[in-house]
Formats: sequence, structure tokens, C-alpha cells
Amino acid sequence: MLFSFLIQVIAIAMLALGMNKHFKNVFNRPVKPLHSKGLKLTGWLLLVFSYYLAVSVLGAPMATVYWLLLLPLSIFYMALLAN
Amino acid sequence: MKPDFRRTMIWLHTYTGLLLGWLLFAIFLTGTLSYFNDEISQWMQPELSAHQQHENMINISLARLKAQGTDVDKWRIDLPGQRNNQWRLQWQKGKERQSLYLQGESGEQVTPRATQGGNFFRTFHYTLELRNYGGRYIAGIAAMFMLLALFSGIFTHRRFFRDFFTLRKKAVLKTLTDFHALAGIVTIPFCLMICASALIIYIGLYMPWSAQHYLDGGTRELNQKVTTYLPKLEPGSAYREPISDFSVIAGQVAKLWPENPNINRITVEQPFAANGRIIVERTRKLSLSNKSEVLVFSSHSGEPLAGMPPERIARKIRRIFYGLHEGHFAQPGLRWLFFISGLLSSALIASGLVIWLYKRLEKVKQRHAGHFIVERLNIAGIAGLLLAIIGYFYANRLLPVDIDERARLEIGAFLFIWLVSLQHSLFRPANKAWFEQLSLASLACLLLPVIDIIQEPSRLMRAIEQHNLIYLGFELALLVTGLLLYKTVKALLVKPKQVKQKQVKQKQVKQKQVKQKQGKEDKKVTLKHKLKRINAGSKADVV
Amino acid sequence: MNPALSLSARCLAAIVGGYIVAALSSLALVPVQMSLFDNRLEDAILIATMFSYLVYIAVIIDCFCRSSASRAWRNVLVYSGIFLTVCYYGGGLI
Repeated sequence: MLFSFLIQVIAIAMLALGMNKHFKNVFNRPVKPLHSKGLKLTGWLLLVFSYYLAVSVLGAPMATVYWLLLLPLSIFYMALLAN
Repeated sequence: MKPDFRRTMIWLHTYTGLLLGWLLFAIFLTGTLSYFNDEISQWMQPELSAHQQHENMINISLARLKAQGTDVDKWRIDLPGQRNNQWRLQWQKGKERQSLYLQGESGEQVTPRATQGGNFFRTFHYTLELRNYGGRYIAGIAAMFMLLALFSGIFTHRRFFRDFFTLRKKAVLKTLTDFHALAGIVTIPFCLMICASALIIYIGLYMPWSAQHYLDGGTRELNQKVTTYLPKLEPGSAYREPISDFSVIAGQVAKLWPENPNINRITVEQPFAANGRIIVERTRKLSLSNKSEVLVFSSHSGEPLAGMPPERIARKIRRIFYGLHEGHFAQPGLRWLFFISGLLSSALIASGLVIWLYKRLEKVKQRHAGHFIVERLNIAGIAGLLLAIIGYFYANRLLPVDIDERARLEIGAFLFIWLVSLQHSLFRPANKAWFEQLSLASLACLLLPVIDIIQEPSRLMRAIEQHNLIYLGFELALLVTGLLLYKTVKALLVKPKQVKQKQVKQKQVKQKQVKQKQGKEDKKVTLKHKLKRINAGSKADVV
Repeated sequence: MNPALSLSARCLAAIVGGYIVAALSSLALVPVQMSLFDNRLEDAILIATMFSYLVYIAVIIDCFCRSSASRAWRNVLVYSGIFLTVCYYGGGLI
């Protein structure tokens, strides 16, 4: 479950980096469209993967609850980091 | 058409939020607290010591209950578990019910102080202390409005999706708006679940028409028909001595429930009849549904009897919503996550209210009565509620133990303090009222553990000895809340020259952040519970 | 039309009208379910009642999306008409 959470955080980070604004913050240059697309795609895939991991550990009902409640944490963490 | 749609959505969001915002804040905050219902109750009844379930417990209970006479219709044994420390016996003759609390290895009787404990928050969050005056209807309407506000909020803060993860830190109002939008988006699943399940729990109250039309008995008959029960006991059965050694059943329970054999409650129906039965209920852990998982045994032989038949899908859906709302299945980690989500939603509502006010105050030169009312209600609704909650805990410690109507008085204190805070906010300048109420809340939070120690030092010592993390955690949570409130207040004092409105805004933001942090820090704290124990211990030493 | 009046009419349509439509839908969907899915009566009632909340929200949103209050009311009337008809013709199933 912890592993799934970690992957969730990474996925959210990827999604954030896929956005021009945050990419600029980190690398001081605008993101190339291709990179942005790639980052977003991996972000979404990782997000799905983290959910899959959670389901494989806890079973779908409980995993959904965990996953959805952890999501705010990772998003807020990222929002605090990204600024 | 499109911009018009957005405009109506913004209007809807603004005014549904404003109209019921304070009510929703109170409901969400008290509801969030009731995730720790049992833990709060445990702190509020310090007479009961923490104890593990031990093997003799059930046999002692059975012996005690047998001594109550053979004409008793029903026994109930509530066993302490991971979260609560109540070892309670109840017996029922006809309609008359009596109960007593036990503790210790040999089960001596204790009388804890009369209090509603954490249950008060639970009942308050849906009845608003107005059970007979339509409180539950009001709460239902509030839930409906919350759903509407959520939906329209998506369109109102549409711009936020474009730069997700942004918290503009320069202007306070902007930070607050960003926080509001971000919190709104991340708590959508949580709020949806909470509001929808709230409506579904009281479905019979809010939407009784279909059942009334198709069934003669209305919603009552509907409930009876969709719920499965154990078969009814035939009266007039021969006398049989009930079992006194529970191990016969305990072995079977362990075999039938290998993955979670923790027993939560044992009910014995018609204990002295030949067809009497023992119903064993386990703690909820594995399923989201709120259907109790039971095993049934004969009361005199311990033979297994037919259990409860499973329910059909419609009832199961409702059960799952119910279970999700209550979160009884949640283990500590998950419980904290629920708690944090609840705090975030409360912060979402509060920040929305504050934004409403200051967006308007920025634009207008001349304030009118509406601004005044909203401003005061913000203070009383947010800071005042915090004060009232803390005041409730104070009342629990400071009221004499043997006073009449004690539980009522505690609730009276809660309501009274809230009222006083409203009055106070009416007669003070807004920023002063914020400052005073928040600093008072902070001080009160910090002092409460101290008062607890002065009053009865042995409680804390016992909690440390018994590794009672719940008791210590509660005190620590109070200290952390107090410190964070103090920081908020201090942050306000640093910039006294700023415009009054801005100051209040600042306070608000901080308060939100405080709440957030509080949730997070508390979580960290549980993770490092060992550290916590040491911490609390050293604090006790200092005092 | 006076904007305040229009707004109140719209709110009334959304809240009161929406509730009526939702209540009617909880009646109408029972025979529909029983004939389509062969549900038991009590299950059908429970599901229809739970579903009616969704109807309520949908109607409220619908009311606020229409360009005028009279259209919002018209829609509410149309929806109630549909559900009433279903009730009337489906009522024989019980």
C-alpha cells in the first residue's frame, strides 16, 4: 500500500511537470510539447498502475477507499512543492 | 448560452454556499470529529482504564448476567476493542433495560461519569440538537446543498484546472481562492460520498413517497422487507441452563472467522429458554458494508444455529453507503485519512465563506448589513465553533462528577459557549473578535491537558503505564491544535499595520493551513507513536 | 420580467419542482424496474428511491441551465408529466 502511495505521488509529480508553468519552475525553460505529452502520459499510466497495485493488495472496494483518500495528500504535497 | 450557464453556476455556487455554509461547516467539523467517536469517549470517561480483551472476560460477564435473575429476556455484552475501552453488560426485562460497566482482571464494577462523550458530536452532526424540530431534515437539506455547491463549484473554479497545483502565495485572497479550489477538487470524491450517503441513510425521511404508495406500512415495512433478520424466537420454551463456559463457542468462532476473530459484542436472547441463542458479532474490518457479521449459537449447548441470510443487492448498496459514511471498518491509518479529508472539507467550506466576504468588501466602499452579518457569522461559525468544542471538553473535566443531568449540562456548555461567542463577535470589531476568540481557543487547548494532570495525575501515569495511545494521543492532539492556533494568532500580530480586512484574511488562511497541518501532523504523530509516548511523558514531567 | 422575480421563480422550480419530479420518479421507476429487470417490489422501491436523488440533482441543474424561468418550469412540468404517465400505465403491474 505504501508502495502504491509512492507511485501515486510520482505520478502526480509527472502530471505537474507536464504542465508548462511548473516545468518552468523546475527547469527554468519552457517544456517541449513532446515532453509534456510524454510526461502526462506516463503520469496517467503510473496513476492507473498505483491503483492497480492497491487493488491487488487490498481488493477493489477497500483499495478504492484508500486510493481516493490518499489522492488529496499527494496532490496537496505536490501543490506545496510546486510553488 | 454557454457563458450564461457558467454565470448561473457561479451564482448557484455562491449563494448555496453562503446560505448554508456555516451550518455545513458545523456539520462537517463535528462529523469529522466523530470519526474518532470512540477515542474521544474514552478520553471523556477517564474512570475506565484501557484493557485488552482477556479470556476470562466473557465468562465473568456471563456469570454476572446470570445473577440478574432468570426472568431476563436479553443479555448484551459489549467487549472492549482496539478503539474503545468499554466493557459493558446490559440486560433487558420486557422493555426495561439496565447496564453496568466492568473492568480489570476479575471484572469489578465501575461507574464512569455521565457523559455523551464523542457520541455528542455524532448526533449533533445530523440532528443539530433539534431532533424533534426537524434537525435531520435541515441536515438533509444541507447535504443536498453541498452536492449542488460541489457541482457548481467545478464550473465556478474552471480556470483552476488549467494551472493545477498552483498556490499563488503573493496575495492572501488569491492563496485562499487557490486553496479553496484545490481542496474542493481533491475532496470531491469524499464529499460526494459523504453527502450522498447522508441522504441515503435517512432515505425514509427524505423520500418516503414510493414506499408509502406501494406498501401499506410505508418505509417501516420497506425496511423490514429488505433487511434480513434472524428467525423469530418462539416464546414459552422449556427452561434450560445457559452455558457458563464460553470456550466451546470461542473455538468455533476462531475456526469460522480465521481472518478476523475479534468479537465486538455478544447478545444472548432468551438465555434461559431451550431455544435461546447466542449471537456473536465481530468487529468490522473487512467489508465496507455496515451489516453486522454474526454467528449464532444455541445458548445452552453452544451448537451452531442457522445464521443470518444474506441481503439482496438493493439493500447491500444502501449498506455500503451507510458503512462508508460511518467508516467503522477503517483501521487507524485509514481513519486518519478520513479525518484529514473531513478537515479539508471543513476548511474548504470555511475558506469559501471567507472568500465570499472579502471579495465583496474589496469592491464596495460602503458596507451594508449583509456584509456585517456574514462577517459576524463567520467569526461565530468558525472560531466560535472551535471554542465551543473545546468548551465541551472543559465541561467534561470541570463539572462535578456526581451532579444531576451531567451529560445534558455538558451539551448545554457547548451551546452556551457558542452563543457567547456569537454575542462577543457582535460587539467587537471584526479583527479583534477573530484575534480574541482564536487566542482563547489556543490557550484553552494548551491548558486542557495541564488541567487534566493537575486534577488527577494518576490518569496520565496510568495511561503511560498501560501504553494507552488513545488517551495520550488525544492530549497530544490538543497540544498540537493549541500550538498551531497560537502560531496563527502570532502570525496575525506580526503585521498589525495592515489593513484590517487583510489581517482577517491572513488569519483565515493561516487557520486553514493550521487545520491542514494539524491533520497532517497528527498523522505523523500516529506513525511515530512511540515518539509520541515519550513526548507526552516528558511533557508530563515538565508540568 | 423582473430579474429578482425570475430568479425566485427559477429557484422555486429547481427546489420544489425538482423535489416533486424526484418523488414522482421514485414512484414511476418501480413498475419500470419490475417489468424490465424482474425485481422484487421492495427492492424496486428502494432502488427507485435512491435513484430519485440523482433525478433531483439533475432537475435542479437543468433548471439553472435554461435561459428563462418559464422554460425551467415548462421542463419541470414535462418531466412530471412523463413520470405521471409511466405511473399511470405501469400502476397495473402491482
